Amino acid sequence: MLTYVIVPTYNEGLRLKNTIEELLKTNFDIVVVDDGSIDDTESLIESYPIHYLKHQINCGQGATLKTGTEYARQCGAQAIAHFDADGQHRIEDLVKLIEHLDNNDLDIVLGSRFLDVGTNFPLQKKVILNLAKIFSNHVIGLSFSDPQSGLRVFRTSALDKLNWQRSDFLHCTEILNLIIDNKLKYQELPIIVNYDESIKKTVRPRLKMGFKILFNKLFN
Amino acid sequence: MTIFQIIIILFILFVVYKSIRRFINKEISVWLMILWCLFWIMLGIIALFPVIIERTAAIVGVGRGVDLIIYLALFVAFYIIFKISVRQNKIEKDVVDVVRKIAITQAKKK
Repeated sequence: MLTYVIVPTYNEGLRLKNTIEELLKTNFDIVVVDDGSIDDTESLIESYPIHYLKHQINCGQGATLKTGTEYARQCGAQAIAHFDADGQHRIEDLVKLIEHLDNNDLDIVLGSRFLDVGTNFPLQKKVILNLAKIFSNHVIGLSFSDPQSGLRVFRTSALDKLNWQRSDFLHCTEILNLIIDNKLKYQELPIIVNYDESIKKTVRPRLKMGFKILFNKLFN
Repeated sequence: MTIFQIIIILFILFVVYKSIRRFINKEISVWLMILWCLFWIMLGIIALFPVIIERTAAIVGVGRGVDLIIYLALFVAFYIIFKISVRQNKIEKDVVDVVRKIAITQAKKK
């Protein structure tokens, strides 16, 4: 199964370089989509045998993934994976998800940080993610164990039904809604995420996201 | 004529002058210029003859003329904010679409 791995990035620099070096150990096609980075991202990775796309301005993670996904489809990908640039995701989990999709009659396989006890969440992260999960399950009505997971693999044939429109972080929730609305065959698999202090970066605005999701649910 | 009325009239004359200048410089259409001038001239007439708005307020049952102006101003302001918000969202989406298309067109393949 010809698989393209989409790596969205914004000012990740060295973290992205390390992630690409790890990804190059696999046989997958790697597509880095730079969401208007203003650091040295481009020069750091220009020597690697990867596909490199760049947004001229910062558009948001949802738009970045969409650019990479559309590009992969044009290149003839049979399956497309979304993989974070900051080194949080493990290659073995990516391979596990892709193999699971290949060997089963599924449209999409989602990584879940809550199905495995191996992830050592920082306390703040654990509290926020659990609140997001409760919020997603009870307010939004989506029963996924990890609604904000960025690691997912899906068949290109399912892409027409996964046509997310959100440019920002809300694409995660939108994709889950599209899975349910279009009755796509999905499964969640446990993954372990590296919450290493060395890769610690700005915490995403979860509270703002929560309000945005609620607003979106009420008015769309 | 009160000082307030003089200030209002001077300001309206300035706005009308700017509207005509913008039309001459082809920055706005003739219809927008006429609409804009009529709006401000109407406000000038109300400022000079406040009894007009007082009577209108009494007819529609608002009470004071000032209250009627405030209500109308709020309705118009909220409507304009709504229109601008919808337009801004559309422009944002269009910009993102263009940026995405350029990125795909200019992709550096391995």
